[in-house]
This record gives sequence, C-alpha cells and structure tokens, in this order.
Amino acid sequence: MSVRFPVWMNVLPTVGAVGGALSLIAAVTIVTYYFTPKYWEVGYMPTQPGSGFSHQIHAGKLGMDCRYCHTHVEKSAEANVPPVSTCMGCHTDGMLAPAYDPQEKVEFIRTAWAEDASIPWERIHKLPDYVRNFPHHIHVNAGVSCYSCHGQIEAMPVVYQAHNLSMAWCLDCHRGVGDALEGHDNPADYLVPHDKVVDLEWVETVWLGDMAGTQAQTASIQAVLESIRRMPPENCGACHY
Amino acid sequence: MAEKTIDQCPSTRGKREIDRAPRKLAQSSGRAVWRSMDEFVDKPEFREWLGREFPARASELLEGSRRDFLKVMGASLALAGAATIPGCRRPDHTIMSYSREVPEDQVPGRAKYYATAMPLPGGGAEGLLAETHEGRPTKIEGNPLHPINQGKSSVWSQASVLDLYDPYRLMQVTYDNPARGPLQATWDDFGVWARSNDGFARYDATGGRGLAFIAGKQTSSSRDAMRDAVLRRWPNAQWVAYEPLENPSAVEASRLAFGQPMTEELRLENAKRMMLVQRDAAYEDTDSLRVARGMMAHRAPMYAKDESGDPIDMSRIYAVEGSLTVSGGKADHRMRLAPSLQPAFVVALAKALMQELGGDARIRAALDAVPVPQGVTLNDAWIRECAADLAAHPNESIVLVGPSLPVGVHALAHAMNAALGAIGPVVRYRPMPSDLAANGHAALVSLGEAIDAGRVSTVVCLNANPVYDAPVEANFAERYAKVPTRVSLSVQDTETAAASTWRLHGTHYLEQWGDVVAHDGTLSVVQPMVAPIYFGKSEIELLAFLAGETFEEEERLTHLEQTARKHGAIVVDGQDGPTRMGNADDVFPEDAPAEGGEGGSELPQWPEGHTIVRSVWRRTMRDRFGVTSHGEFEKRWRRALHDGLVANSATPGQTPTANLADLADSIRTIRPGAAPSGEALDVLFTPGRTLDGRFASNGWMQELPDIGTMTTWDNPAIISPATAQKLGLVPGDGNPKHVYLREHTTGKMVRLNVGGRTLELPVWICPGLADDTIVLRLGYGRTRGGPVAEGSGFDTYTLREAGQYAAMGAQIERVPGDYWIASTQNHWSLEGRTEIVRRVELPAWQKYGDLRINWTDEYELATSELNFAEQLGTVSHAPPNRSIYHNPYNKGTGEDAEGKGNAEPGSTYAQGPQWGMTIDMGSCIGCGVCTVACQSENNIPVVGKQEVAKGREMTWIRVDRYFVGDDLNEPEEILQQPVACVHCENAPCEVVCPVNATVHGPEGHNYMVYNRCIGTRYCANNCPYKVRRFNFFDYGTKQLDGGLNEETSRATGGVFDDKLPPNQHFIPPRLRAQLTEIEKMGKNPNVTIRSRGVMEKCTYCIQRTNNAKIETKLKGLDGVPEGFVQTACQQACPTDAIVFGNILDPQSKVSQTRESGRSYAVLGYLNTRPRTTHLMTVHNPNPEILKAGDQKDQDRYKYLDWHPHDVKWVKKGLEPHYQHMDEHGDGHGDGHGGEPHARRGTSFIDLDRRDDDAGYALSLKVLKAAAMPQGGLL
Repeated sequence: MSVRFPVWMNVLPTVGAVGGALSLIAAVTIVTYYFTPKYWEVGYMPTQPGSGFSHQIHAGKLGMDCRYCHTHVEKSAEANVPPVSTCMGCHTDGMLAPAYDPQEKVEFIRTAWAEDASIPWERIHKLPDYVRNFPHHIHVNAGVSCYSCHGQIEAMPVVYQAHNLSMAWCLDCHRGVGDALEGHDNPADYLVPHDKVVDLEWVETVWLGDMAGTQAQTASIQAVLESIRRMPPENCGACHY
Repeated sequence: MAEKTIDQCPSTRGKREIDRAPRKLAQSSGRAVWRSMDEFVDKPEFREWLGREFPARASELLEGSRRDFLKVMGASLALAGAATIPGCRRPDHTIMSYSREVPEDQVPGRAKYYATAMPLPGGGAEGLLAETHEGRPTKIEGNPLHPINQGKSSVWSQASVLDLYDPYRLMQVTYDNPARGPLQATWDDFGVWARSNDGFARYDATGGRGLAFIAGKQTSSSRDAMRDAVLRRWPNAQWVAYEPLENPSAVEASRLAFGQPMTEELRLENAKRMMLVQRDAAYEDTDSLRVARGMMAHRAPMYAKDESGDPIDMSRIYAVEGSLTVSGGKADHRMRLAPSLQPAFVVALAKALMQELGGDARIRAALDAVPVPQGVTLNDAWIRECAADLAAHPNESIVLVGPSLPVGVHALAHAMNAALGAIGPVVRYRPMPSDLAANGHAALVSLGEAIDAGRVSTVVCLNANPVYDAPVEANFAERYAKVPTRVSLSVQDTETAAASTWRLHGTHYLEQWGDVVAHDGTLSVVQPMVAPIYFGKSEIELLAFLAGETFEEEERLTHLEQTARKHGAIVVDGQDGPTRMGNADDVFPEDAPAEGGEGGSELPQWPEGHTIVRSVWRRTMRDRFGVTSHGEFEKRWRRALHDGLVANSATPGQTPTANLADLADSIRTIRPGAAPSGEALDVLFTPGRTLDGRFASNGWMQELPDIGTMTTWDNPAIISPATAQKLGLVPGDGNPKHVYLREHTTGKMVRLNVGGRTLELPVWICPGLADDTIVLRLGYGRTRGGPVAEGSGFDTYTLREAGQYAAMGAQIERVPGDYWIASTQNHWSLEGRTEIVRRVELPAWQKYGDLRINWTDEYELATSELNFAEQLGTVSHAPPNRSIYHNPYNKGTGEDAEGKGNAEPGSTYAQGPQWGMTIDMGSCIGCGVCTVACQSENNIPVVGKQEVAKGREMTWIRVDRYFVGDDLNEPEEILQQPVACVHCENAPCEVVCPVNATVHGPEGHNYMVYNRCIGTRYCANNCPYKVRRFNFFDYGTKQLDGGLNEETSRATGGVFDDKLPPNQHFIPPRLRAQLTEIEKMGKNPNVTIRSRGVMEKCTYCIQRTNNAKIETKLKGLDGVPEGFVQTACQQACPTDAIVFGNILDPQSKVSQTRESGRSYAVLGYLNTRPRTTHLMTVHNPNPEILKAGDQKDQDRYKYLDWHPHDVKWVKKGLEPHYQHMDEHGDGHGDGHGGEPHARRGTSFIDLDRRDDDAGYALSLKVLKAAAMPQGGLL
C-alpha cells in the first residue's frame, strides 16, 4: 500500500490551528487598531493655503480671543471661518511692524484681498453627512471648552485634529455630564465655567493642571450645571436626521 | 412580451395564497370605502399584489431579463477601473471664506428669511417668505403678514423654488442667425442690435407699426409703467396680454353686471351655503388660499355645542360638476353633471330660487324666455330643495360658476347672488386692471391674422409661450415662424423660445426685483433672494431698456442713500430730496460713480430692476400715499422690503349694484344643450398639476398625484366607469367589474376628435365624473423644457379653441395600443384594515359629539374613556398597552385604548415636550401642498414615472383619496386623508429592525437613523400605515435622467453610452451623472441627503424641533413655546388641517384638537398608540334632499342622527363589547332592533381583516402576561 500522505503532513493540523489562531488575533488587532476613527482621523493635518495660519502665534502668543475670528460661534451652529477682511484688519500693509508682518507670509492674504477672492482653507474637523450640523452655539453656551474638542489649539502652528470625533467619544461626554447632573460624576471633568470657555490659557494652567480647583471654581461649575438643566441628549435623533 | 422578473421581496416567498372570497366591503358595516376600482372589485389577484411589503413592483429588480442584468453588471465591472477610486482617506474639503465684504447680517449656519412675493399668472400674487442659506433660497413659506397667504402657501409657490435650480433653464442669449444658425450671444450683443436700425430703432419713425408684444397677464405696477413707457415710445405697437387660462366669460359677465370688468373677492367665511357649478375656487382661483380658508372656516367643528350651548352649525357646500375637483370633493351634495347640461341646471336652479325669493321681474322673464331643451331630465327635487336651502340663508349664500360656462350663465349667477344678497357680505368686487380684462385669446387670433397679412415684423414674447399654448384658431406656431424678427424672454426653455430668433433668458421671481399687486390690492414687493444665476434680465428691465428709459435721478438718489449708509451718515431731507453737506460725491469722493462712461463706451446701459421699481414706487408713494420727502420714502421702502408688502394697501372691496336689465338680456342668450351621448361627448379642459404648462419642467409637480385620478407624469383623458364600459375602453375584458390592477395601470389609446381636431391619448377611468364627459388636463406634452417636461403627457392645447373650457360633440375612437400610466391610487394601501377613515353626519355629531363613554375591557377589566370618533370603531378591543418589549420611555401603564399619551408621572413621556400631530380630514381639501412642502423641506427626491409605477415614490406624506359608496360610477362622498408616519409609541417597525436603525426617542419621535440602516426593509413590511419609503436607488444624489457621467463616458470612449439599461437607475450609482452644482444649491442643508439602500420616512421635521429647542434654550426659555416650531406640512396647509405641537401642554392647539370628539387613532386597535391622530369628517347633508332622494338617500336620512352603535352587527361574535355603555349613553337603545344592514357608513369595516386583526390583538393579550408590570391592574 502506497503512502498517500507522508508523515510530515501530520504537523499540518497543528500548524494550521496555530496559524489560524494567530491570523485571527492579528486580524482582530489590525481591525481594532486601524479601522477606527482614532487611527484615521486623529492627527489629520492638511497643508493650508499660502503660509497657513498659526494658531500658536495668534491664539497662543498674542492671546487673541477665539471669537475675534470665529465671530458667530456663540450664535450659530457653525463656527465660521473669518472673511479676508478680518485678516486685513491687522495685516494691511504698513499697519504692523515689518517684523510681525513678514511680506512673504502674508502675501496670500493681500493677494486675496486685492482680487476680492476667498481663501480656500482646508477643512480639518468634519463630521459625516449623516450627522447634521454640529451646533457650536449650544455647546459653547453649555460650558464646553474649545479645548475639549479641538485640543491644545493655541499651541498648534498648523492645526490638526486632536480627537477622533467618533460617536463614542461624543457620548462619553454627554453621558458624563448626564451623570454629573444626577450627582454621580464630577462636572469639572467635562465642563468649564462660562467665562472660561474660550480661555485656553486658563484651561492649560488651571483646568488641566490642578483639577481639584478652588471652592469658587466648583461653585461656578455648579452654576453651569444649573443652566444646563436638561440632560444632554443621548438619543439618535439629536444628531442624525 | 413575457415578463421575467426577479423577485427580491422575501415577504412574498411562501406567502400563503390569498384565495379568500372578495371582502364584500359593501356589506360589512354600511357603506364601503375604496380608493380605486381595483379595490372596489377586490379580486384575489389584486389582494395578492397589495399584500406585499411594497406595493406594485417595487421590490422587483428588473423589468428586463436576467441576461440584461448580467450585461449591466459586467459593464459595471469593466468600468470600475475607469471610474475614479476614492482613496482610503476622506476627501479633502475646503472652506471658502468670505473675502472683502460679508453680506449684511450674514451668520453662516443660520437660515435667513426674506419677504418676497410670487406673481401669479393671470394677476394676483402670493406673499412669501423665502428661507435662504448663505444666499441660496431653499424653501418657500407663506408670509404671515400677507393678507392672501397669512403664512400659508399653495402648491405653485411651494414648487416654484425648484424651477430656480432647473438645470435645463435657458442660460444664455442665443441669436438664431439666418445664415449661420444659432449663435451664442451676450446681453450686450442684444443691446447693440436692439438699439440699431436692424432692431428696434427702425420703429421710431412709424411709431411702432409692425411691432407686437405678447406678455403674460400680471398685476404689477412696475410692469404696467414699463408697458406704458414702451407704448409711449411706440404708440402704434400692439400689446397683447395673454394667458392660456384666462376667463373671458366671467370678465364679460362682470362688465354686464357692474358696467366695468371686476375681479371678485370671495369672503366664503361669511357663507353658510355655497353652490359651486364647475368652479374649483379653492384650487384654481388666483386667491385660492384665501378662498380655501374661507370655504373650510365652518367645516370642522371641534365640539358638538358652541360657546352658548347651542348645537354647532356648519356651512354646506353643493357642487355640480362634470370633472372631479378639489372644491367639489368637499361638497356635502355633489351632482355629477355633464358640461352641456350645466346651463340647464343653473337655469332650473335660478327658476326655483326666484320662486322662493320673488326676484326681479326682468330676470324672471328672461329665465322664462330661455328655451328648455328636449329630453333633458334633471333631478328636480334636488334642485328645489337646494334652492330652498340657499333662499333660506339670505346674505349668507352664494352661487359660483366656473369658466367653462357661457357668459349668460355667469350673468345669471350674478343675478342670483344679487337676489340672495350675497354681494357685500359674501362677495365683493374690485375694478379689474385693463391687462386682466383684455381678451388675450381674441387678440392673439387677430395678431395671427395680422401676421398672415404681413403687417407684423417683430414680435416680442415676455414670459409667454403662445407657440405651445395658443388657441388652435390662432395657428400660432406656424404664423410665428413667418414673423421676420422674433424675440422671446423666458426663464425656461420654451417652445416659443426655440422658435425665436433672439432667445433671451429671463429671471426667476426669486432672482429679480419687481412688485405685484395681490388679489385684494395689497402692494407686494418682489425682491431677489439671489443674484440672477445665469445673469438673466427681468421683464421690466428688458421693457425699460427697449423703451429707452433712464433712471438717472433715481440712480443718483439710490447712490446717495447707499453711500451715506455705508459711511454711517445721516441723510437730511431737503427740499428736493436728501442732502448732506451739499453733494454727497464731494463728501465721499472715493465712492463717486466713475465718470466718462458716456461717449467712452459703445455698450448700451441696462437699467436695473431695483432702480426701476424704486422709481415707480416713488411715484406711487407720492400719488397714493402722499409721500413726498425722500426720508419718508426710504422709511416706507425699507418697511415694505421687511414686510414684503405695504401695510393696509389693500383696496376696499366694492359692493356695486348689479345692472339687472343688462343681465337679463344676457340671460336670454343662454341656450341649454342636450345631454351628451356616446357619439357626441362633452369635453372639459382643466388645468393639470402643471397649471397651464409652466410647471411641466418641475419634477415635484409632475410627481404630485393628480386631483381625483392620482396619476403622475401624464394627462390621460379621464372618463367615468360607465362611459368607459359603454365605449369599450375598459382594460381587460371590458367589464369594469373585472378590472384588476396589472391591466389597469395601462390605459387604452384612443383618438379624440374635438371639432375636427384629433389627438391620440390614453384614457383613464375615474369614478365620480359625469357620464359621456371627457376631462382633459392642460399643460402636458411639452416639446421643450428639459427631460422632465418633454414627453410627459399629451398636448391637449391642440384641441382647444380660444377661451374654451368646455367643448361639445366630441367623438372618441379606439386605436390600437395601450399606454402605461403611473398612478399612485393603489400604492401604500392599508389593505382594507378597518376604520381607517371615519365620517359622521352633522345631526349625529350635534347629538353625540361630546358624548364620552367608559368602556371596560372584558379581559383586562381596565376602563378607558372613548370619545365619539373612537366609539365608531373597534378600538375598544385593543388591550391595554403591555408590550412584551420594554419601552424605555413609557414607564406608565398607558391604559388609554386609542393611544393618547397618559404616561405615568415621572416617566420620560411625562416630561415635555412630547410631540404630536393631528390631521383634520374635515378641513383637508386634498390640494397636495403638504406633499410638496415636505418634499422641499426634507430633500425628498423625484424618482420619475417608471419608478412611480413600481410604487417607489418617495414622498413622506401622501393624501389618500377615498370614495364612499357601493356604486362604482357614482360615489356618494369623497374623503381626503393625509397620511405620514404617525410616530407610534408602540411602533411595529422598531421591534423588527435587526440593527436598531429605527428607534424611539424620549420626545415621542420614531427615529430613523440612516447611517445604521442596512436596508432589510423589515420595518416597512411591519408598518401597518405603509409610510416608510425605501431608496431603491440613488435618487437623492444622481440626476433623474442623467445617463453615464461624463468622466465614465470619456474613460470608456463612449462605447457604453448607447448600451444602457432602459431604466437609468440601473446604471451603477458611481457611474451615473451626479446632480449638477446648481441642483445641489436647492437642497436643505439641515437634512441629510439619503443614499441608496436606506429607509426613510416622516421625521416630524425633527431638524426644526431640534433647532427650536436650541434657540429657546439659548434664550433661556424652559421649553419650546407653542407656535415656535411648525412642521413643513403644517406651515403650508391653507386650511390649517395639520396641527403639530406639544401634547403635554394643555394650551397647545394640538392637545386641544386631540381632545375633540372627532379625534381618533387610525388603526388604533392594533395598539400602536400613534402620536398622530386624525379628526374625522363631519358632513352636513341637506335632510330635505335626502328625504326626497332614492332609497339610499332615504336610508341615510332615517339614520341621520343615530348613534352608530345603535345598529347591531351583522355577524355574531363581531359585536362590539359595549357592555357598560348602557349605563352612560343617552339616546341609544331606541335604535336597537333596527335593520342589520342599515346604511350607517360612519366607519368602514372589513370583516375578514377584522378576523385577522383579532388574532393579532389576541396575541398581544397572551403575550402580555410576560410583561405585566408589578402591581398590575389585575
């Protein structure tokens, strides 16, 4: 009787089982790590037109208020990108000292102004189409710091996406505030006092530095909670329609 | 051809055969109710067809063969490489910032509302608010300040926004060079030509001899002024104001009655009795919104008693008509009568009325002089009692006759109204502007003769399309071609534009400056929402240019004003207008207009619409309102721009005395015709959903089901079932009782011969029409206007003479061939489930309307209160709300049988706001504006005729039209029921979704989460209301008729271009043409564009409620106050039939209407607990007419004021369990023992279906044990 299956083939089941298990583990690992907004979205940093806009200089060093440019963030669902005229408020030729107004860096603004053209800024934070109109105004008024979603923006020479903006990430905060309203969670983990929403320096030094805060801060957070009154929505219809 | 289909519908596999006997609707509980002949006849084939989750052939993949399918798929694979493969990353997006100037008050992300007005063809206007997003108008709403609209809108204005973004609009000036063919040109080319001797300059010498203008009829003071300017320059030019749907007999009759042509203002809210003879006032009048509001004002009682405790009264509508109209459908008594018999009817009515009232001797003599046609029998008793009823309501009744009736009959109506005292309280008059009073049809015919005589060298058509819609005598298409110079200004690509030498592209009303006088004289502003997308010019700009008008003074003042405002300066009123430190140009030199334009440039200057309107208004303000100073004018102007109208500018309606002598002379000319026959048929011309054809390129209007027939995309000849049988035009074997659906979706082709002119078109059978009458819709069969308009329907204008609405003596002849028609009347059927529509008669309502009874469930021993409408149904069998599925929001027991929210205190459902809706079938007229408004608000795509025929139409709210009665030919009543998702608290769709894509919200919404949906369609299968719509293809993002996209075509060298499947939608989405950028501009940015494979349905306009919640919260309010948010359908509905709001707020209108005795939950007995409840119809028949009528009527009379439960049920075991009722009700008990087949007909029950549903209800009872809450009621 001829040998149909050589002896070495006896290891095949073992190798197959081990290999299968390993590939399964690899597949699961790959999917859980790579197939996520965390991998794909965080760190998205497109090249901006011209020489870009440095939030590090404007919001960080100069300490400009976010709302100087994003004027309607408290009134509208969209935090608008400023018109060229806002840039030209300072960068008109001769307005600033040359050191602060290097020609090669602001050239593209002045060209756009001269041509009455718009500047095609690359969009960084974008939710999918089936999430309608993330409302900035209600979040800002509820005491959600700019930092909570956009990260340490005052330290970014070129803006990148700091958080994954996934639904789970949204819900973490909504649930947390909901728990805080019911007294199970610390509201200061999620919210800042109304007057500190755009105060990125305070966020960096106090909120991130010393979470315990003072008595006064706790009181002002309580005031924020009271103004929220209703639970942040956790239902589908709040965002998907 | 044998049809091979691939059935993808899982629900049809292995489904048990439905071979039961037909349901015998007519014998169940009184009268039957049905939506179509198929439903009436109810063959097993039809039931099988209906029983599927999506009706029609919605879930069948292909109409071609499997081989075709494979071919397409193969091509798709081959093309896959050619098409761009998107990268793994999301595509990059750019944010385009504003540059130098941000538009005034522009906040990105917030919609802005501007007031404007839509000029209506034939005069009048609708005052509107346009919602704009960053400068793009996306939605039209009625202007609440406008007296015509009062916040409401019509189908025409709702749909008009789509025309703005029509990708097939004219986009540029084209000059048809005789030698070189059509050439692209510019407005400057036209301007230079027009100013030259080749153009219009040559007419200066002759005063315009040989020059003719054809313009639509409008009431606009600016256009009138520019018309006068043109005629000043060329006094001999001919001005033809023309509309295809003008109404010359009414104009002539008002001239006879009052000495001058008058427009009428109907104040039907003051009318108790209305008689409409072939007059669809609530839909076709130019102030139809106000008419509909008035007509329905006393038709929807909320309580049985009024404030003083007297029984509530209602108005009563009589209608006599040959077609089936919107207004006629609401009538309490509707008589089918052929147009040729209508004059005889009106004469008979007048005689009876004069007998009651005495009346003027001259009129009586004239009536006696009218010859009585031989062999015509009318229902004398009906007429007598009707006349007595009208006469019994002096100053509160009115007779209205339609445009199809001759002048004499209109004169007679004036005489009757004078005798009834209607002039003043119910109808008032205003002098008619000359353009409106002119007989455009006659003028067009004489212009045609002048063309033949060679006396016309130039014709200018201003937004008129006579080549398509002129009467046949004018023979206009042929004659127009003989004119050497033909100039056409139009927004759409029209037949006239195509036949013109200069094809100018006009501006849509949303992109032009103008003004318009509404029907009541209110001066309204047309202001642009967006700059002309294709740089068109408006009518007034063209006219002003041709007339050579300049507006230097106005330009100076405007410039001054704008400059001053820009610099924050104050304008001081001077003697001759505003001054500020002398000349403004000295003060602000950098803003001075560039000098040296004159002489330096060869190009002619075009006046701007803004300047023209302001200059005309400055004069109007001075002459009419005594405004002389510039400052005051500016103030008024800005106020008018804000309001959209000049407040209190309506001219008072006059109450002139009718000249009875002239009327009598006219009445003598009435020559009543003989009854039509199969050899000499009557023909009625009526406007279709495309109005006169101007909405033919509007997909929303094409897909909106036609009044009565529910056909879309077509205008078949409509005939009654009896006529169809007589003429052998019934599909199938010729017996209307053997019609069933697969054959019925086709119509047999016929050749129609009207006065020697013939047209081949299909027939469609519709109950409720007069026999031997053919109803034709105008406005279809366009040959230009883009793929939507072209080839949809048949051009019935080719049969129509000047001013004609009714023709007699037509012949019909069968020609070979069938024509398939997409009708929605059998779509979304509720499968004959019971008591979907309910109605009651006024006497019973007065007696029992406020009666509530307590009913105790025999199993549960739970007691619930039933209102009157609920008593009419089997809702009492519903078990208490014990779902086996845990409902996270309703922690309460919710014992209310009809699903009215009575959640336990503390549960989420007990916290506001809880949204709910009521839909009042009593005041719904079935106009369809809710459907169009919803389509506009929610980005609902148009799917095309082929898809509609398969039941794939996407509209979220439909208006079901039910016929009542057991006579196929003569339905007794017509009921309208708008149905959208009712947002069940126990939603059957939610429990079957495998991926939780449809879930419940804490505010009572039934959510549809598009991104979770995987398209199993289980939810649609389980929805008893049939309100879910599935995106079988990429309707939302791809062009309706787009073919392959350019990229694919180019990449494949065009080899696939002619190998496309017959249905464009089968081209793989990636390869199909995308929506153009222009079309995308019209979408509402706050609503997702749904993609292929996703289910969708009514969301209660959740984008609006969410926004309202945010806005109120930012303002520090606790909740959303009543009136802060409206759904799109509610906002548009002209009769306020739809009410939406917070049902927990006792002050809200929705909670009050839910409390009405008319409120009931459709299919409430299924225990779905819908948040939308319907209010049943109350009819107000004339008891005397019923008493004098046939057996049916007498039966009805006998039970007019009976409580429905007085009648014993037929079958044992189906008796409703009202065992506790006897302790409560008064007035029932006497009726016990009445005959079992009593013609009650208050609600409509299907016994077989009842058995099925009893099983369903029982299953809930059995299962409920598992879900019994702790401390349950047992």
